[in-house]
Amino acid sequence: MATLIELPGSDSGVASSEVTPESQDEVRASSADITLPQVPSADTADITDLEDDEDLDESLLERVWGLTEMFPDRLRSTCSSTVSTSLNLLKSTYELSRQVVWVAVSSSVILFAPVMFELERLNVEEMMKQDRNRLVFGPGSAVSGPPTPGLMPPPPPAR
Amino acid sequence: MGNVQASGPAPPAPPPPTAAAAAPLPPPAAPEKKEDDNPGPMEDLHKKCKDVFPVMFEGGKFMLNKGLSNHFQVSHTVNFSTIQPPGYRFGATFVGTQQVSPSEAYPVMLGDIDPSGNLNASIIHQLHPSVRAKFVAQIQQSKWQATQLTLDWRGTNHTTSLTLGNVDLVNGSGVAVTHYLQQVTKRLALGTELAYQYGPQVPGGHIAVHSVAGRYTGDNFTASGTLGGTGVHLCYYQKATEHLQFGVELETSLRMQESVASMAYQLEIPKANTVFRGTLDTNWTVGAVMEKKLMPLPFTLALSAMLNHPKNQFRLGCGFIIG
Repeated sequence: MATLIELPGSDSGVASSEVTPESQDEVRASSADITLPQVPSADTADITDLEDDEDLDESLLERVWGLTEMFPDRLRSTCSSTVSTSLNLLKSTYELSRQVVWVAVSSSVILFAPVMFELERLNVEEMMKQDRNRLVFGPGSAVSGPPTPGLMPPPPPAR
Repeated sequence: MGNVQASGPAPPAPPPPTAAAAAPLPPPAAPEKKEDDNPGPMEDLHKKCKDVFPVMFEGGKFMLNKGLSNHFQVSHTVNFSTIQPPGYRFGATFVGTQQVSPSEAYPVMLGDIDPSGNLNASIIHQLHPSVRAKFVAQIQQSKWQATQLTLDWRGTNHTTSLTLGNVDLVNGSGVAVTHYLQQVTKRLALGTELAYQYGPQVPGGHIAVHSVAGRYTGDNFTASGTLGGTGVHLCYYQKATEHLQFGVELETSLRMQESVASMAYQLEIPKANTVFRGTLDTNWTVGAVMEKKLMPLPFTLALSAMLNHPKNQFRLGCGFIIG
């Protein structure tokens, strides 16, 4: 009996046409040989050329993929393995660098940060003390006292 | 008739209680008399290197030290921690009247106890000018956890010690360790240790382990090592500048088939009243402790951090010590 084979994505012409033995043949043929759209089906090849192109509704990607068929197998496998290996290498390098940077930064924060802060603070305090001394003992007017950073309000200028 | 300066005898001012009581707490291992060549006890063989390593703690710690008199000092410690149940500990230190040297006085009794009865106590006494005894006991949950009696005999250029640990007369088990450390030349000290354990749990009834030890002291460095049945323990200490010291330690345990190397440094910033110690080891653990004295009041702030990379575990501790 006549059975209707549904092609994925090919609902343009085939399904809507009548279920005739000829169209049955070409449906069966095109579903079996979807990579070679030019394979001539029984006797309807010349007449239904246009229909063939519409029947085999491949996406762009599939057609491009089909083009790769022209290269020899070994080249194709080498290319694909090279690309996938380099992608994996890139990913693992990124992961490794993440880990290395994390370990280095966290360890230096714990080992060196407090010391650096203390030394910096000490230096800044000494510089401020020097500035103060210069103001007091240097070419100092009787007006100003040492500028104290926020601890005491600065003495009002005596005029 | 010149001026007669009448000055009454100045009463010796008693030193502040905290200083006097705090000073003799750990008996120093340095040689006691000027011509004395004593190498110190074997326990202090790696002391210089070990002192560089920080002791990390976790959680909040608040400690109040109060000196009640020249001889007696108490401390209250409150611990807030996530890994151990928070608690309060009371500690007391008593320093006796036998004054051996300006910084040491005996007997010394230390103890601390917490409200549920867990007690750590130690008594140190000088029985004779060259014999010192120390007894340490630990009681936890109403059971004797550990006891240890140590006798040190310091000769002119050698030290012999005998340690008895966990001697249980009822079950017939215990550990006895003897040490002998001899100062061979001015810089080199060699020693030996014999550890003996007996008891019903020990396979064969008893077991003994022997090891040798040595320490070489240079101008700015100290290298010490122990080699024996239990494994290898090597330490190297270097004083880089007046304020910077380094320590490297390698510890191998044959029983547990593992070895760990660790490195530590200590930096003092006297102007900022800060002491910073950092450590790094082959278990990929990084730790640091910073102690800062908040002058002019006798407060000390301690910050501790420890990061274990493989386990991704971080422990932060903050302590505030008054007195």
